[in-house]
Amino acid sequence: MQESEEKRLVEIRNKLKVLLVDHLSLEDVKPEDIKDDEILFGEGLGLDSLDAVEIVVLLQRNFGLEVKDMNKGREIFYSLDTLAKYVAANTEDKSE
Amino acid sequence: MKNHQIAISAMGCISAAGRNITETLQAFDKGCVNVGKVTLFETTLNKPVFEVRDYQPKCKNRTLSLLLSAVEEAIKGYDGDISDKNKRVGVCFGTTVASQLNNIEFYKEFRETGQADITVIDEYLNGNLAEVIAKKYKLKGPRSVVVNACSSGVDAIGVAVSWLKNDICDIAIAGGADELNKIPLCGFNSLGIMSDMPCAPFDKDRKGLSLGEGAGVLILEREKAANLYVSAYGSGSDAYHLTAPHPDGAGLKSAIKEAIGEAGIELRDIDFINAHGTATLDNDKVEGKVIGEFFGPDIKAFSTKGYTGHTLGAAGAIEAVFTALALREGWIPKSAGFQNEDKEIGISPLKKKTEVKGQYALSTSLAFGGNNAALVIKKREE
Amino acid sequence: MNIQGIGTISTLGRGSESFTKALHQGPVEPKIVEYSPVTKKTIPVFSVDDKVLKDKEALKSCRRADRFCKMAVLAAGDALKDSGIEIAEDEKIGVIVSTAFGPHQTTFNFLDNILDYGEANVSPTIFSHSVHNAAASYIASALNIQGPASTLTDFCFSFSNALQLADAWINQGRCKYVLAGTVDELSPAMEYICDQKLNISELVPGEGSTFFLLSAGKRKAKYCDIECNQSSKGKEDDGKNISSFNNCPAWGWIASGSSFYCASAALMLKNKHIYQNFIELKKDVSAEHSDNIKNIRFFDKTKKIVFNLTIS
Repeated sequence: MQESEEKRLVEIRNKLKVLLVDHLSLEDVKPEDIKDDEILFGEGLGLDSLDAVEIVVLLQRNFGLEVKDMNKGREIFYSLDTLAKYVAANTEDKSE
Repeated sequence: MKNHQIAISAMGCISAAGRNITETLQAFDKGCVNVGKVTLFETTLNKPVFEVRDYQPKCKNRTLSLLLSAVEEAIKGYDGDISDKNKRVGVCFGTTVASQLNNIEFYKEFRETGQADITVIDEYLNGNLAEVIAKKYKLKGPRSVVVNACSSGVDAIGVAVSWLKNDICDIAIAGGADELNKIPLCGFNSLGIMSDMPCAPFDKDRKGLSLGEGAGVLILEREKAANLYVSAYGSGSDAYHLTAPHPDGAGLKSAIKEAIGEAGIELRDIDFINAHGTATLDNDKVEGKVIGEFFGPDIKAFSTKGYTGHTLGAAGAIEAVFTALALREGWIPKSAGFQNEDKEIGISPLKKKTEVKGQYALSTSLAFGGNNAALVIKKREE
Repeated sequence: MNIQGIGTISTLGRGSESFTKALHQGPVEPKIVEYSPVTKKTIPVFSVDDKVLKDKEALKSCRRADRFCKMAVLAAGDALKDSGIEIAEDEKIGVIVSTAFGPHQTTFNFLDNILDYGEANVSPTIFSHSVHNAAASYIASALNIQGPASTLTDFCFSFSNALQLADAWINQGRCKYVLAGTVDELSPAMEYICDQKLNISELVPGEGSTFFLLSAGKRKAKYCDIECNQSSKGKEDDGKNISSFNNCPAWGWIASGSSFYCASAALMLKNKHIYQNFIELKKDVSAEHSDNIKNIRFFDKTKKIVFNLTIS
């Protein structure tokens, strides 16, 4: 059970990495360059407030998730890992 | 260069607050707010907006129609002949919507079939606000359309002031216009800065802006005796970010400094401030901080966005008209939508209609792209 | 007003050197592009090669910028660099961007978003780049310019509008220098519109950006003096005049393209050489080295504005 959960997290992380690179015009960054626990804003990946609202749209389009409260968003968007965990916790595992 | 006085010879405005100056003053006096659902077009976005109601458009292009309404009101109140052949009359307007090739039906048709109704493009090409007004009144002077997003209206007044000071024209009709349109409605919604409740400028619990529509127009003249003057205009860039204001308000500070310096006055001469106050978290925080820092926490400040919504390219011009009206009438309206003070912001707008007696007032604008502008308006000494 | 620096980007490449070289060489062949996958209709265009828009250093703060903004940032940055002027901290520079149609490709991308994903599911990044003044914003942040900035639009009159305002700002003392220029882009929908509205055998649509660093007339000009006036003020013919725009210059038809004519006129004066193929020449002006050429005066396409460039 735990193993499949971890597998699913890996999949989500990889999908998110591709989405971020494609939709946030991250020049010279390849999906595989992004660490699993990469900090998204400021010192980490260097994202800003406009990227944050773009991620809201990405989550909506790709996972059907709605993040309305940006204060809560701040915790969710802290790192790639927190983002992936949020997606995992709020979407159904289709492989089961 | 001689620092010419720029007289405000006449004004006109239209917004959700009223279809002309008289109606607007009545709404301000009573604190009446006209807000509701979108009725102008079909939309799935259920956000409160400030439409101009009970309004028969003068032409198909609603932005142009709103502008025409404000221009006609101003010209009606003007005591000279605007089409005087011996005068160079410039026209300069700010807008966002009217300048864009953004017709959804046209684009959808093109996308699907590779062709589309080209008359849409003819209408667009014939819809340049400055060109239409110049032609309608047979004006022979410079013309420009300013597209600086949310500061377009005040920046258009700034361009007219530059023309007049440089003797490029004798008279200028300047202002801004924008209709409520689906594109910015979707856009501001996607930015997460649009409120589900009518906007609450500078309020602790503000949740974002509400869109509106309208137009504001001034007729400006050099060296003419008048009761009201545009004393100075200043502007500055944040050079920081496309959508977020500089956290310290760098561009706004330099805009205010330039305007105060150009007016030849001190900060303490400003009696009240008509702030941009869009009710987004960032705008109000940065703007309030700068105003508080420059003018002290007790400065009489207010935002009229609670009556008009954010009218984008029209906002700076509509608010210039409102600022001039407040000086003329001797009172400022209560800040509609504001209830609870936000300690993080350096100012607290007025909750009730307040008497003002000073000679100078300031109107500020902040825009996408880090554009910031400040306008000093002056009342003739009594 | 004096021209102190020129930056230009078009189908002829980037920078005044490649522009001059192209003027020497004469006309180039346009590219044929298909503007609709449905009708498979094609149109010749003078488009800017995407490779020309790659410059990591100059565009380092422009990660999200679209083509429209990139062209403007590169041309404006090049104009500043070309001037060789070191701007002191207390010297204000103004930015005036003029455009006939704005970033319409980005506006259409935003419409795609509305049509494909629904009103509540559109990209905020695309929306924020669809405003006309996005380019001015990028120029200000890329070059760290905190002076006044404005974006003007008036179809074919966009550039003369910009020059007039630049002159006013400098005279008024609002700023010591102004970076003023134009930017316009092509897109499939625009190519369709051009196909419908333009006589393509005479006018091949183009795209690009040209900027000038302008100073007050009293500072010695690196290039020349520039002014523009309503045509009634200009004398039409004094032998050295060049009468009007050629129908299809080497960079293509660009609604805001009078900036390109001004750039080539400034380069002609600087290089003391009249280039053929881009302006209808008076018969008595030949395309050869000329030390005597001190003034170039020409009308824009509408015959309403006369541009006057003079070298002292």
